[in-house]
Amino acid sequence: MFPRLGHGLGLRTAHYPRVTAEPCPGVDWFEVISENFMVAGGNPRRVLRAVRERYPVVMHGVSLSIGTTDPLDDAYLGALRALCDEIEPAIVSDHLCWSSLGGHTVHDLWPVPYTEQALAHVVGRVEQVQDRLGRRILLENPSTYAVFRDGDLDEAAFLAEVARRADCGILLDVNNVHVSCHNHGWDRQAYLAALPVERVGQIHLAGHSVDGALLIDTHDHPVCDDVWRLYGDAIRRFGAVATCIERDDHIPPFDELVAELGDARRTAAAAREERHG
Amino acid sequence: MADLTALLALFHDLATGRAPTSAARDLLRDDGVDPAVRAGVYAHAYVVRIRDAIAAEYPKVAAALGDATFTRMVRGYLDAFPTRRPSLRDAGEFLHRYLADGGWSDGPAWLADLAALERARTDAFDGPDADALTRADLAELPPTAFPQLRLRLVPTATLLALTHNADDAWAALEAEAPPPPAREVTRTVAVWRRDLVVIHRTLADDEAAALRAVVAGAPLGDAFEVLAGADDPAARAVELVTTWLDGALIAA
Repeated sequence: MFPRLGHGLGLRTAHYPRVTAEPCPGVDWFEVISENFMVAGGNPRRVLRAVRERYPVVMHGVSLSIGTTDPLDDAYLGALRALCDEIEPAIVSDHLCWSSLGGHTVHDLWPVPYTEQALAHVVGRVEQVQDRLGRRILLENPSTYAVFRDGDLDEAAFLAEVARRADCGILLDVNNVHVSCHNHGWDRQAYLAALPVERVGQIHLAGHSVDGALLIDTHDHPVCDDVWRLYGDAIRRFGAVATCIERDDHIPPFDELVAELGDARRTAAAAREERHG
Repeated sequence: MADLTALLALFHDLATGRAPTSAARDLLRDDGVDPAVRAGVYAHAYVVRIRDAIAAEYPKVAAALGDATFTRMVRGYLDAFPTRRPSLRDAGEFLHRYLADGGWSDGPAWLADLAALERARTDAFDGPDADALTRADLAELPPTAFPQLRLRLVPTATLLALTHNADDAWAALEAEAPPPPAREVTRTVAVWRRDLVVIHRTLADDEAAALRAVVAGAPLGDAFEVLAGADDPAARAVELVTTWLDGALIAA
């Protein structure tokens, strides 16, 4: 259902000179933050065009706000569609969250109440978005630090049901599974088991920070051992899904991230051998 | 949809600091951690993420105020101008207006103009691409055509009117030197992008007047009437056009 792209990196400004200057062995594809390139011109668009000439590109958004009860932002969707038409990304994704209400955009990924009402609402909006973009999208499980008292569904079941009813995909952020399960006392294996295998089209890996009793999804550390183990579990369950490492703060030299991507490749290969062995 | 909207509104007020975090106990699950602590994670992230984004787009304003004052200023700004655009890079789009309207008074008088200058530079950074007119292009025209010639600035170009010496402050902060005391001035700064490099330049009064006329659509002959008082108006006109062409300020 989704392209098996191999292993990619999130494209970040600090690495533009390196990525555009020479080949990037060890990197199969790049993921870009959609909103950073929804601009008229200049260096960001030039870099994106140059990268796209050499690599598959995946577009990952942060502002769709699929869970809000505000109307969908038609201007935003139009700009996203235009960027898709130009770049022809292999995958387009955003988050199962909301980030705006009453016209106020908060630039964060806030949790959706896991209620039947919210489920039907999100499903309807995903269908509208997919119609507008003319393609299937993937929704990512966000890191959550709070869960509404209202709601009988758990997060994984909610996400799985959205994917089934709306016929969309799932971007499985393995670090977010680890963070959310720690923060709420959920079972990580049960979380993975609740997701339909055929719907998982991409995987994210990242690092996090510790803040008292909670883990915070900061994307400022290498992937930790617990998340590597969970990634192996995910590959055993979902197969050779396209995998990307995200780093948004304390960004290391490019070659250091490529080396970490090599760790992901080796972990996935070992997990696939176990799966088929 | 009323129930869902009401739930989201309660969370929104918690996470933006409009409701006390103690209200979280009625809205969020405990699961071993106080709901107020959980809501606090979102409330903290809301301000920090936007503050950091605004600091990235307004590095000179941030440097001039220092971390603590800048953070307090951003909190006031967010109350006055809640963000409404999907790109985080636009979070500070009204900062210069907030400062100019007196929303924040704990800073130098050039702060609002400095914010406007930094915003103009950000807009130029990823504004529309365009080819610039060259000397060779103009050389193809007969001299008699020049008075009727109408030029257009490249689409990233902006003429910014300053009321205080924010251009001097920008230069000092760029050099990591102490910024100058504020003083009232009447200046025009042109901001634009040449290939991938954002440029700004403070204009002489006659150049500013001529460029404003060009932007308004006047033919060069009319635009250069402001040069009538110069020692050699024709030479000054040639000097200005040459400067604009060499600076890639005029669109092809």
